Amino acid sequence: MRPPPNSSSFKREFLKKWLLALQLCNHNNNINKNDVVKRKNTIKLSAEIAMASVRNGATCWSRALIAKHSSSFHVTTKPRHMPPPPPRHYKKRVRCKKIIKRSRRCCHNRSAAAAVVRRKTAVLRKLVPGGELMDDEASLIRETLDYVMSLRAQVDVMRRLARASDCVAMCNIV
Amino acid sequence: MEIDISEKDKLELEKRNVDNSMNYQSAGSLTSDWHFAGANIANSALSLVPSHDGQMNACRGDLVGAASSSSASMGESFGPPVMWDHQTSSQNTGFCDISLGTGTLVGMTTGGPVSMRSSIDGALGMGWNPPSSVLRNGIFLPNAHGILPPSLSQFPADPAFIERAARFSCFNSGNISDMAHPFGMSEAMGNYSRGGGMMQGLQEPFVGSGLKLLSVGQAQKNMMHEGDCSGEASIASLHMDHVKPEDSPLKSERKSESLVRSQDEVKPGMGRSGNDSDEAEFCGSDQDDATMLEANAGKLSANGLNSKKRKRNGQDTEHSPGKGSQLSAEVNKDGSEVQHKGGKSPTSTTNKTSGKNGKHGSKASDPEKEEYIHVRARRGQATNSHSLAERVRREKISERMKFLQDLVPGCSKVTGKAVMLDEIINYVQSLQRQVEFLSMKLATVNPRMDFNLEGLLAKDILTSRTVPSASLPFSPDLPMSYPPLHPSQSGLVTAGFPAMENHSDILRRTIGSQLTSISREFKESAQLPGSWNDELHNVIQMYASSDPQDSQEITGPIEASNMKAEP
Repeated sequence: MRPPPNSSSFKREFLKKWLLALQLCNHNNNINKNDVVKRKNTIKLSAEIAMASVRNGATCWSRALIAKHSSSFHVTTKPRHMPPPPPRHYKKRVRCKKIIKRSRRCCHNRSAAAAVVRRKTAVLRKLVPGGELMDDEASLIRETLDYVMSLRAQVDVMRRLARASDCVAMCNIV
Repeated sequence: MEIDISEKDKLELEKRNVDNSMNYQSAGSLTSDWHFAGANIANSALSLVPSHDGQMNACRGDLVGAASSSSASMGESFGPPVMWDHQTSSQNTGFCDISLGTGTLVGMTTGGPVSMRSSIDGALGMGWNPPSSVLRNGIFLPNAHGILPPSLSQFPADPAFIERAARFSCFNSGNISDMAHPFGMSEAMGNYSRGGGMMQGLQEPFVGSGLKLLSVGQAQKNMMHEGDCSGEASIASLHMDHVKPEDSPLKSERKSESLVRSQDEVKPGMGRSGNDSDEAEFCGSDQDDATMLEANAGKLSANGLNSKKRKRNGQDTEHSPGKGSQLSAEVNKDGSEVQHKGGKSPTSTTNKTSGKNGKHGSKASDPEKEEYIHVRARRGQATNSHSLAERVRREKISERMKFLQDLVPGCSKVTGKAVMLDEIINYVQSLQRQVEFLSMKLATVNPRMDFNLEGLLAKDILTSRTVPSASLPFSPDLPMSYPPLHPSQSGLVTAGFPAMENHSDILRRTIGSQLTSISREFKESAQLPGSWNDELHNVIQMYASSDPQDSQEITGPIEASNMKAEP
């Protein structure tokens, strides 16, 4: 049973995995000390992967995230306990979803409010990783919930880390 | 004399226009300007409309705070205008009352610059965002409004004006109906008041705030044949301003646009004369505007109703098939709540049509929807089993939406799927942006630090798994050892860095707090974070000579990192 994304144990695990992922990323790619953007990207990437892996694939978004990033770096050690993500299905379903959505749009343009809601859920789907895979709005909202909590934990950890490093940097300067 | 004064006012107004356009928030300047608001610069007022729509909302808060002070200063500012011509003064007095809306200047029976009317008109030209805020605080944006041409200042001495002034003086505590009377409400005004459910919807908060729009509407109808259309238009905008709640800026912008348009039409009418004889023409021009306004208001009302529908959607656990009918039910609700004397036509039609749809569908799906009061299927809805499944789905969704409401900050009050989804989307986007920003920030951290961290971490990953015990006791040490660090640190600092004593203490404190917070988080965790904490902690150690008990194995690399870290 994974810890809920709100607890501190989740954050601990996240940090652990994040540093691990960072290590892996830096081993795989050359560490560009000068290229801030690349470093930022690796940091973000590793954080995302860590976040997803903490969830251990229990949620769709975590699987989708890992699937998305699995191509971007060559992971020598595959994270354990992770159910295989379906990248192929992902693309197919996206296409099917688009067709279905288009047809739906033609039929159900009577209710303006429902259309608005549909538009907004489409936006949400784009935001949440793996959102396109979910047909069901209920599951989408569930995933969103989980994703939001994980994001919050991630932001929290990163913020603390940034603050600590700021303090250390200030100490160094002093 | 009046001409001179008006010209002077104009000049001053022009001077202040720029300031005021920039500086809505300064209530003091507003009041002084109001006081001087002569023949306004129509173009400036109109040009202010687009720029100010966004500002107005922001300014409102400031203006609210400044209301009392402004009203006081306004009272003072009316001294000079008292000297002015009667005709204008009487009108302006009325305007004072109207604009204040709070009746603070009820006592002002004379004076008040011509500009007041023009300012009000100008306010109209501004669109109703700013005027509403202004009105609320009893401040009129003087420069806002230059729609009134200079000719107004030269109104012939008209007994009607004095009559109106007398009526104005009896205007009390924001009763717009009295205020409306002297200006004479034309059909246009009636149309304005009728102009759609939007207005009516706006009346809701307005009524709540103590202003009687119903009576205004009545007064508007009654006063159809009196006064200037300019006054009417201004009053229309006035009460629309009053009515305006903190609704979507979109609606207000549309309204302001229509108002501006109407103002444009009114302008030439006003320029001709203020006499009753010209009312017909004014009314005619206003009629066009009114119809325009009505159309817009109708659209706006539809939007407003839609938004209301949306808002109420989340309240009940309804389903998409029921949603359309739900909307119709809520539209009916809205119609009943919102409908005041005028303006029923646009909303009622929508009610009827949606109601019809709702009713048709409900017969088909009544059996399984018995326990839900509001749910009705849309016309041509799918079979019952589908509806059941849909309903279950919707229940789930709404339940989760409630969770999300708790999760997303500031969403407790918000109900309605669309709005909730909006909030969720915004929140997710903001969190993602935060992640980006923080990762960028971390990327710019001292590379040496990073490097050491990574190197140490790599080492620790490889080694510390076999030696967890070393790091684990370390982390609890951190918070505990932090207090003892202080005195030793301070001693050290005084010895070594006398100049930076304070800084380093503060720094140490901050670092310590950060680390303790993090370490508390990771207190029971395994090696990796512990070792990372160790590393950071040891950086602090570098300033303090106190040795942690079991950091021996780390002092080596820590010293190395210290060497590297120091420039």
